[in-house]
Amino acid sequence: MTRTNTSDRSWTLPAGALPDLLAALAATCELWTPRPVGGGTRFLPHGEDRPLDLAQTPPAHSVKAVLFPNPETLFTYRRNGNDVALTPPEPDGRSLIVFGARACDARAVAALDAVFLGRSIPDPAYLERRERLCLVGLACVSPAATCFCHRMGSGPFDASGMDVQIVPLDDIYVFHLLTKRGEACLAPFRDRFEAADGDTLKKVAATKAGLEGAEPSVDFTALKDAVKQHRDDPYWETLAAACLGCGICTFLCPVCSCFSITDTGNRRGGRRVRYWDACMFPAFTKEASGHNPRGDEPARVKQRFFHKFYYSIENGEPPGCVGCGRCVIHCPAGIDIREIVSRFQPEAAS
Amino acid sequence: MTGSAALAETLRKVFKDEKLDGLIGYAAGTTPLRPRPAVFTAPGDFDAAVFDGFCVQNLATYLRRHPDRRMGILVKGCDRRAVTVLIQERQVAREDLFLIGVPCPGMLNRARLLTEFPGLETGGVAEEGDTLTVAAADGPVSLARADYLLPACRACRHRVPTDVDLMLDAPPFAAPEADTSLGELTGGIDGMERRERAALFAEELSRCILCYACRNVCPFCYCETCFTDTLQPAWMTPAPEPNDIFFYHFNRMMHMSGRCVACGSCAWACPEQIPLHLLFGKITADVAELFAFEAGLDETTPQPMSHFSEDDPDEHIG
Repeated sequence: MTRTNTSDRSWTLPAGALPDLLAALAATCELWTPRPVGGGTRFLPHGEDRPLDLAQTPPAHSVKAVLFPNPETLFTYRRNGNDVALTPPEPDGRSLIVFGARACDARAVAALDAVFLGRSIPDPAYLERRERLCLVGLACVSPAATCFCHRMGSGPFDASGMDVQIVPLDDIYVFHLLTKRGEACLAPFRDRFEAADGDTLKKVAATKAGLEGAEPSVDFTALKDAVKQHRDDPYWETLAAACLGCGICTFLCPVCSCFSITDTGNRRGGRRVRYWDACMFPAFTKEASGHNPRGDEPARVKQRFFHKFYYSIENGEPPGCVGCGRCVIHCPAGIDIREIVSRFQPEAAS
Repeated sequence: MTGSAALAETLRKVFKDEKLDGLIGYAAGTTPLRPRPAVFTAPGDFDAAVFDGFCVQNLATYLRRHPDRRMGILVKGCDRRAVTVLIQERQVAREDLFLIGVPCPGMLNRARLLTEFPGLETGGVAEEGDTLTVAAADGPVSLARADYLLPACRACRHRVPTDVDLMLDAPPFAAPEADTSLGELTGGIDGMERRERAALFAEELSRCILCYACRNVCPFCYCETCFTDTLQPAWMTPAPEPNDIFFYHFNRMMHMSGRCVACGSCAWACPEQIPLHLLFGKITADVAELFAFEAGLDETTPQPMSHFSEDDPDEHIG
């Protein structure tokens, strides 16, 4: 049936038809789209109140903020006499579509999975959303000057972690259906699309070729070893001299996933809430005795990069950095993770 | 002056002649718009020294990290005022410091420039006189520097630091001084209905992720344990829920009254672009109006909130 020069897994949509498609998806799915708020663009529940922004690269927050929201109610509690009733949030049966995530953020989901699902007991709150997730990613045709996904073993067209990858061409979007879940999400809307023809696919390939291979990937194993060798390097103190110890880099990082838990409410009832925590905060490691094993800035700065480039790799998990550059953009102290990678990357990789 | 050899030479000479243990200044960052605070500790470090319109961050924040050392520090008007407040509060001693003043040209709004001209991250901004030249997609564009100042800098009336040990020449770029005041800048808040005002801050603060960059960048947020971090009593829950976010920002604002020098570092550091200058500009304007006091202008006038005077305004007591 399929003509040889069209694809049944690559569909095209006129750019002007995108708003209607999104409205249709939002009617049946939990849809998150990147839209501007307060000077930055972030994934918000889809609505007409703010325009779609597929241009800001990367968006201010990543897919992490959807899958691992901050704050997040884990359950509500209500006391009645000696009984305490715990009520988890209502599960949502709909598909959860995150639309327009770049390669870096899609790739970061694997790192989040390793933390929340990679242990013997999966995290129920994360799992509830992850099982519903359909990641409709966007090939990144205009990477920012602060982006370095190539060096982190990826690239603007990397589709790993995506269920659908969209490539924007002049006046059309090409939707590549990559997984069964992606197909299932879009199948009800098949009649809005055309099958991509050979010329279109050639254009996609040309666009992709134009953005590839800017820099070679680091050798993560060699990087891990090099970082370890420099455990006592005075460089960590130089870096920490300007570090303010705020949570910007960890909170905006699509991979950083440390959290804490608190109760809010009173004796009669309330909620247990999970929220983002950061290894850059002194209280993160402060012990009940008052002792703090990571008691100064250099120790905390070192920890952050050791987790990203040593512990995660040593533990067989994905590297802790996907090259999105958000920390580079927002660090008030100008700490640039790319410099750290360059410093420790053995010459052999270049 | 940006990254000039002359700046490096001057700072290096001061470092050597004054036998300083360290000198806090700005060094070139990894992109043109991101110079970064640096502690220079060896003569060779100074080659990286820069000063341009993106050197926003108040360097006085770093002084307390170097107790018992003789430190040099590059100060704009607001950094200098912050040093004075720290001296008043006995956090640093004047005799340990060597102050290198730089007449401030007014700092630039990087976030706005990058939004309007996305290519600048690599192209940078040329600063000359009262004009900025930016590399836009279809060629260079000239902008009036005054139009791209940060809000706090638009209202600043104390750009030139006073009582410094060495004053550098004014950089060859600057915007005309003060086209507004803190009162004007934040005056809209006074005119609002209570609900309207609450709605404004609810909307802006809804983006707050409690990263505490505003607190940590502030020269005066030096408490060993911030009220946000105490467990007994737990003044707030540490999760970024609306009430806690409000509690944090408004408490910090109260702690700043009579101390804030309106340097704007908090608003500048905020990754969510929350207009914190509204809060801190407002309290600074209120203190100026009620107590005829501006923080950090001299060491001898006590701060109104740490001092009782029979003349203190008391209308609010009724």
